[in-house]
Amino acid sequence: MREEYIIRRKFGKKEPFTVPENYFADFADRLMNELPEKNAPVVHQPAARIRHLRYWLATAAVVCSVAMTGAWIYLKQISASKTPVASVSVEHDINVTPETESVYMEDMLDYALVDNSEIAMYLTGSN
Amino acid sequence: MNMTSNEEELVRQLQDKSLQRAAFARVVSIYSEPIYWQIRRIVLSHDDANDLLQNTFIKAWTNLDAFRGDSKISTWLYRIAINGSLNFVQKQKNHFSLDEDSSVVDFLMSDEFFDGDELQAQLQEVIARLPEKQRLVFQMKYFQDMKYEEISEILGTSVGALKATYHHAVKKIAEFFQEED
Repeated sequence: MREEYIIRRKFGKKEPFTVPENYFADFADRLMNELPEKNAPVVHQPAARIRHLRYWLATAAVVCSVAMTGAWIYLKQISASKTPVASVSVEHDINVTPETESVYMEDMLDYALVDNSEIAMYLTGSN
Repeated sequence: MNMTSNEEELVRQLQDKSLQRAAFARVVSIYSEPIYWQIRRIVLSHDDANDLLQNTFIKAWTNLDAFRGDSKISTWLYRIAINGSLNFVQKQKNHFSLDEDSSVVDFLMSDEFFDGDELQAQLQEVIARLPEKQRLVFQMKYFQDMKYEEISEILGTSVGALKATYHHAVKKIAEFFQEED
């Protein structure tokens, strides 16, 4: 190609750029010293697992507490609306078996969420 | 792509976790100089070329697991280096305002790592004014004596198109200096 010959004749192929002394000899050492370790154990993995576990535990705890609060409110409402029926039941069963009486009563009262003051009021017939 | 047995062995070592750091040090010592000159021709300044050369190898190291030896190591490194350099030049577009006459010449003549005369600085100016592809092909073919097949792998352009591109670049440069004479 004639044009290429013109350029070659005028400039040759020598490049006019230079580099600092020992640049290429030092470059590899400098770079390898700066290179991050690739085979180092990945530290963040166990921490990530613990973070995930914490997240699921926290979620489970929130769900459980919401469910328990809901159940407590529900049972309290039921017990409030059915107190006379429970009283009747207690009255009916109170003479069945003396041995199981106290255990049975405790279970019933716990279930109905009736406290001691309400029992006392019921027994004395006061409002 | 024709890999020598040495290069195949080097690629195998790069994929072996226990050997890859030592293998990568060999890659750096083999390819840092040709890759540097490719970058330097694009960005012209030594300091910028030095930064970009480091970035090239750090990027290669970071993405080493993605390199499966489908291309030659040199091709892979040239691609990273050229992309990085072109992005850099794009961002620094205002660094050399090519609207002003001789801004590259002025820069080069005051650069301590340029030992050419004004005519050679002018050649760099003319090359810098070429369209991106013509500039790259001219530099790879003229200064680096690369084969068209190798340039084709790096730039992803057909050999026929590269020959045409080189021809256009040479013609423009020759015309500029003929007019000057």
